[in-house]
Amino acid sequence: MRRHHIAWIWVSLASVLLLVFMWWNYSPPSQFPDERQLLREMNDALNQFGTSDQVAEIQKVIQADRRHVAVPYISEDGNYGMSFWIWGKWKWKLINLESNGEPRLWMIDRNDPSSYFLTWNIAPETGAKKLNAYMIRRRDFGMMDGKNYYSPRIQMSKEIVLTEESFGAISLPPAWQEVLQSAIRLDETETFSWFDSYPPSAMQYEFGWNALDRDGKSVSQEVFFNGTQYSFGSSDFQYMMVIDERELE
Amino acid sequence: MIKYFIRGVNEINEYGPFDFLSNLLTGLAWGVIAYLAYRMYRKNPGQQVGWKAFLVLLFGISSFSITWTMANTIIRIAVLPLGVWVLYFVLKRKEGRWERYRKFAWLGFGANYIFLLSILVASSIGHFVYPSNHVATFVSDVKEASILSIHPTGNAKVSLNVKALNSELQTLKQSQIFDESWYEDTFYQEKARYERFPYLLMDVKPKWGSGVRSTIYVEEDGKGLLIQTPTEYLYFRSTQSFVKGSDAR
Repeated sequence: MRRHHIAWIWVSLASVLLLVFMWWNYSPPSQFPDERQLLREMNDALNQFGTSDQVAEIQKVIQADRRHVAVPYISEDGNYGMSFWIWGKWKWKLINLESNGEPRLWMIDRNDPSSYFLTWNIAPETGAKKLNAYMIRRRDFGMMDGKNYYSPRIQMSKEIVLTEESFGAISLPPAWQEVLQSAIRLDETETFSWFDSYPPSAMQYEFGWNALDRDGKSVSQEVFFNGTQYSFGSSDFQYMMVIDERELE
Repeated sequence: MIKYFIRGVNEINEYGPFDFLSNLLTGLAWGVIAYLAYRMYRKNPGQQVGWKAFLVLLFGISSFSITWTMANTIIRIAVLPLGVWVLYFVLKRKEGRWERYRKFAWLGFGANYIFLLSILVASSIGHFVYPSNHVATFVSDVKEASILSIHPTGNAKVSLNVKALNSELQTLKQSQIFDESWYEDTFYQEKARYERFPYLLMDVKPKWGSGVRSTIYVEEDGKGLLIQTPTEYLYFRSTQSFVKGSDAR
């Protein structure tokens, strides 16, 4: 009989622990912090990081999904930056701060392209009116195990208009998601699904961008990368390279 | 650890469509193992406790194995009986326990070879039932299929002619990847920014029970399918275009 009681104690203890764990990790998000608090947290982070730059103005709070928020901002040094927030462990946490709002991909779950977000904050002074984002996989062909193979080039683009708002965060276009998904499905799961690593076939895809001015001409990339640069935070981000139009097909 | 058991239960990919033969043969293999275990148990029922023998058997399955791919099948040959070793050290602490249970541990290790046999049988039957030189293995149900333009060469307005594709499924002929005309197109027209396969064929179901995973590209003239499987590329040509709305040649 006593053994019986002990077993019950263990079971109830385990379920309480489980409940606490669930509540801790999966609790519904609370109200996103107001601007004053955001400013304070971001500036604290910048101080900690050792930069003299401070956040001057928060441009917008962009809800990527219920637990993920992107906040574009302007700094006192004139940087158009981007900060990224996630809901977890019972609070909104600043996970990344970038002085340069150049386009980048936020990959919340690398194995799931529907969780990818395309984010940008382009300084209006650059004269950029339009942004083109690209997803490219290079053409590949040759012989493998005595058999010919040919892997088509994939080049998909998404046009983003900057005239109304020069910043934003959007889900990956559905067609891009389909293409990435079809590549991930081909992978052997055992190589990656047990860890949260990047699926190997999705690694062949490159993401890029270029910006066009009023006349449809490419904006030179120098204007995007000047001034003090800083970046800190998590690694769930994919850098997007600047693409020269001559590289495109 | 868990990985081994799951692998035993189901060799196939979680994303993959239902692989009838593998499942059937794996089920048979488990049946054979259960039968052998039952016979061992019946020989001397007083000597061991049923559920303990069962756990010993399961643990005995874990082993160090060599893996390679032969004829598109992943083959795993168990070499070192890791589970048996661990069991030996654990069980021998009590006098006579190892002697009573060791046959189950070794049966567990032997189960690896029963699985190996079942996979070999499944794959050799599979080559007849689901031949890879037959397009219907990969494209069998096209009711919900559609195409997606994935390169500027492709025309975003085209759609799939489901009827045409359906009627062509039996007559599509396997062809050579990369004959001379491709060579020319790819090298001389690279500057012309031309992609031979600018469409992706989506939401196609493979032959029932084949369990094949593939990514399928459609040729620019709408008359060819390039099928990428985890191990190879296959190319099929038809006489009729199954793409509507392009200026099909």
